[in-house]
This record gives sequence, C-alpha cells and structure tokens, in this order.
Amino acid sequence: MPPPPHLAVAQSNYQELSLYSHIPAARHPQILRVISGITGMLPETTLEHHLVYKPKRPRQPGQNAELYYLQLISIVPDEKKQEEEGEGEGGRGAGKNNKEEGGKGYDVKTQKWRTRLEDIPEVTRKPVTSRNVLGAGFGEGDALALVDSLGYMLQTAYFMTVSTLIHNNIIITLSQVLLPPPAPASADPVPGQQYGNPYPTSGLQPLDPARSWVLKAAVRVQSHQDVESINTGVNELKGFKELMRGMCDLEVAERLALDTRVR
Amino acid sequence: MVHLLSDHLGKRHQPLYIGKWTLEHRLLRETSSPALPGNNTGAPSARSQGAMGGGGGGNYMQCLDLSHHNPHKLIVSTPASIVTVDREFEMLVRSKLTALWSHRQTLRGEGMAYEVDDFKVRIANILQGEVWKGVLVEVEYAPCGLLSAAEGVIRGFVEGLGWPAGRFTFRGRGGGRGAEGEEWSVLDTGRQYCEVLRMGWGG
Repeated sequence: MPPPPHLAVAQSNYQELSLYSHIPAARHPQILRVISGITGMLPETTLEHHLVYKPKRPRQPGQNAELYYLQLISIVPDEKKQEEEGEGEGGRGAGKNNKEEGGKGYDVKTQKWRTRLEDIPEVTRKPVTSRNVLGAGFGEGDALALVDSLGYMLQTAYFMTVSTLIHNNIIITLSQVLLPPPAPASADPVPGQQYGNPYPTSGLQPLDPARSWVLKAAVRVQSHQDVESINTGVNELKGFKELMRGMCDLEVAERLALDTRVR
Repeated sequence: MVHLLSDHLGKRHQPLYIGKWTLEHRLLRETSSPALPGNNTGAPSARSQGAMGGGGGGNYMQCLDLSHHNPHKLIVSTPASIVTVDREFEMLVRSKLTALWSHRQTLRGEGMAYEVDDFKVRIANILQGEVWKGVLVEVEYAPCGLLSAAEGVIRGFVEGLGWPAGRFTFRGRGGGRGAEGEEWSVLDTGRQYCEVLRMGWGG
C-alpha cells in the first residue's frame, strides 16, 4: 500500500506552511463534499497511530539546546484486510500472532514507523503558520526499542483518522483524534498495552466529546530560505482560504499552541 | 596495507574486481547525565574521566552509511537496538537532539571490492580525518542465509587467504543482538561493522 501523500517518503525534511480551521461534527460531511468538489477527488482516508515521546532526562541547567517531543507515526492496516491476511498466511508472521493472541491482529512492533519532529512555528508576520518538519522512515529493526534507547519515553499514544485531498500544491487534511476504550481496571496488563490497540476500529472514540474535526491546509517547501517558493505557497494558501470563505475560516494557528519544546 | 591484502587475494584466487566502495561512520555519545541525588558516593570522578577518555560504559549511537547496502538508508545502532532508517534521521539528530546527543568521531573508509566465486571481499582503509586507523575487510558469502551455517564457511575462506591475523567478528555485540533470529538480515552486517568501528568507545 503506498503511503498517503502527507506521509510520502520523498519529503522527509521540509518547511510547512499551513492554515487551520475547527470544523464542528455537524458541518464535517458538507465541508468534505465541498473540498471534494474543489479538488475533483475523493478523500483518501487512513487511520494513523501516533506515539508521542518525551526525553527521559530534563533539560540541564545552563544548557542552551532545547529538548523536543518526538513522534512516531504509522498507518494502521485495514482491519478486514489484516484478518484476511492472517487467515491466508496461516502460520507466518502477523498471521500467526493473530491466532495466538485470539485475533487481536495488531502488532505494534511490526508496524512501519516514521519519526517526525515538528519545530515550534517561526515568529513571522506571514499570514500563515510556518514551521520546520523533520522526519525519517524506519526500515528493518525495532524502531520502538531504538527510540527508547535514544533516551525517550512514551508520553502518550493516540489514533487519528485523516482524510487527505490535494489541491495543486496544497495538502488538505481533515483529522480527528481517536482513543481506544479504556482497558478494564481489573484486567491484567497486556504487553504493549501502553501503545494502544486500534482493533476493533469500531471501538475507537473521538477524544473530543463534541466529535469535531480539524481542517488543515498545508504547503510544503524545501527550505524556509527559498523565498520564491514560500511566497508561492503563501499565495496558494491565501487563495484557498478565499475559496473556503463562508464555509469555514482558515486561520493561522496560535504559535504557542503548536510548541513542541519540552517545558 | 589494502594493496598487500588485495595482492594476497589476487595470488591465491583470480578475483574479479567489482569496483570501489566507501563507508562513513559517525559515533555520538549521550550528553552526560546530571548528577543524580545519592549518586555522589563511590568514585564518580574517576568514572567520568574514564568515559571521557573513550573507554568505559555510557550510551552511544552509531550512524553507519555503507555504499554497497541500501543506498537510501542508514544503519543506526545503540547498545540496545539497531535499525535501518532514512538518511534524514541524522539531520534530525544533529539539529534537534543536540541537548541529548553530541558527535564524537567520524571514520571514513575507502577501498576496493572483489568477487571470488560465491564470496565478495571488500577491503578498505579506515581513516579518522587524515589519520590511518587500520584496514577493514568484509567477506560476504551469499549462497547461505543462515548465520550458523555461514560462519564456518567464511572463517575457513579467510583463514585460507594467508593474511596477517586480524580480529574476526562474526556476531557483533550491541544493537540488541540477535532479535531478528538466525536468518541473515542487513542488521547482522550492521552489528559487525558497528562493533569494529566503535574502536573501544562504549566498552
């Protein structure tokens, strides 16, 4: 399965220009239809698993370098496909685990993880949020064990359903943070429980009780020094904001709300 | 030294020259942890001196770039884990993990690769800046996927070359060893390189 555009391998490090809007649950279907019309495409929807890591050690007194939260992100395989593969393979890899673990079918260790570190947005007078994003995809080996041995500990885990649409250079995402139902207090802790298990996906519940969504329109530019591309990106976003006027207000995000430095 | 070894190889076998190869290896160390309360007993100063000198324990990270393996990925190893990851990972470490990790040493290797029947032999000088640190040889035996079966074959081939005795590393230490099992993976090769190129850092 090719990764969706917003996780594309080719662009690991980039400057992201973005605008955001809060979409109430009731408006979500209509907004999605409108953007589908504008972009001439159907949304591609994926379920992402996000693990947020924090350095185990606090910042040392007198140290200038900042500490940052680090994320690991992977795509959760479609539950039905996962079951079919589990049955089809009959004894190998994930399929075997499926049966041994009573059909849970999700193995956090064999997921294809990418790491992502989003810098705090620039202080800027641009009419968009601008931040540096650094990332890298893991190949072989245990990415979770590596991140642990780099001095990071799991802070929080959540899932996110993301619908992606593309309009020229703009990557438009509608996303909602989801959590698995809390484990019964009496149950024995399952290994890997802290990471969360997305299956059955029908059991995932929005973090926000009002079930609202976040609309994000983003343009990626190779470098913040590439003024021409930055200006093109800013103008495209301004154009899209105009296009959406009356449907939703796309705004610059509050800079400190996107702060990823450990305090 | 590289020429001496390739000369030996040439006289014993008629190897096919298959090209040049390079490696780059960077070692990083975790920035020293702040003194923990209750950790002031014993002889902490002597210990930290030892760590500064290059030996001793402590957490390290190795980033290894091998021209003949997956060109888009680095091998990254710590005492507890080893992975392959996109090259951009190093950029992330260098720009945003500097509070935790500092760069200590870069080694570069440049050499020649030969094919002898089912074996591939790669010989390279290892340099730290302009300083020669030694010669590294990788012998690859492709027909066999199982580590246990390949070790004897490779060892026999190396011993048959009549080279000056070197340090033979088959299963590298560190990198959360052997978690992938008996079947060869690039991580096994990575572990071997990392053990040799650590040069005493991290014990």
